[in-house]
Amino acid sequence: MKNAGTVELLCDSVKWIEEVPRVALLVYASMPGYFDVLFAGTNGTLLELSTWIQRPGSVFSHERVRVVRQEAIVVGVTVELPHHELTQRQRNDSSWLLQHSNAAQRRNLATNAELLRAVAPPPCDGAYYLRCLAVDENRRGLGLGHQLMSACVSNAINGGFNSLHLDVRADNAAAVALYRHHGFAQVGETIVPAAKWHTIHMVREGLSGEI
Amino acid sequence: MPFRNRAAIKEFILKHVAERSGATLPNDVPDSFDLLEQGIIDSLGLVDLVAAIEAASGVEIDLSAIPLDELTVVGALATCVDKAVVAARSGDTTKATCKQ
Repeated sequence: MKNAGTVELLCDSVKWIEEVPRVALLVYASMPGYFDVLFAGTNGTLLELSTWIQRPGSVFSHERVRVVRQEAIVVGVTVELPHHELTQRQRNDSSWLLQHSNAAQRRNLATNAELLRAVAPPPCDGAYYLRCLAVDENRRGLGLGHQLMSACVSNAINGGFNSLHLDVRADNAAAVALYRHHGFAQVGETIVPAAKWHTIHMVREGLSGEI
Repeated sequence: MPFRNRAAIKEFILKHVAERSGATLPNDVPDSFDLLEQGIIDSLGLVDLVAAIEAASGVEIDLSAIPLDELTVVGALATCVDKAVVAARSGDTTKATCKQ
């Protein structure tokens, strides 16, 4: 891998603010349907997502974004967080949405609640969540996904979590194969026909025995 | 269907969340009852609740003045909505805040 860096928190770089638009693009590409619904009617999905990445307390906050860079450019990202943070951060995001939306936007969110819930699984004790993993489409096949996934598993183990959860689009065969390679098994799925949405919920159990 | 008063708003809130969640609520729910903490709604349920209140009242509610941790407390939310409805009724706007 050419000049591949280590996986680190986005905000460990003094220039992280300048990287937010690129990170937003990668995070968006991992679940475009979700963000298009979440930010419908705003000034722009990528602009809004960039705001969330800069906002402390959000699920997608820079506090929870990890990146890998090549030649000083962000080429892969993960958003991962422990279960006990998920509820509070979801609550922060919903409160923020309520306070920064109009009635039409709120109606849209309420109408699409089933889809939004499909990618916001309820937290369970002892779990660590990988909410997003994305690699620049021009840098795929270089092992970056494996590098990000291995780092995420290490973070979960080092944090004392017993299981690692994620959701992935059912038609993303490459991602599903990557997760299976890293020991994940499918435990459920969510299908929202109206939104043409089909995700698989995958879990890797028994992390506490891998220390 | 404009709400008559704060009590009617509170009644609407409780009825709506009970229908959506399938939960059986106590007969006399205190104002301090936190819908999220009690597991009656999730964070998206709160958005759904506000959208339903706006649809029922015909008033667009500006929630920016209510502290974030009070948005899910039944009494605080009912008071907020009541102020917004009263403000909209007395003014010439359909968008109202719940500022003191």
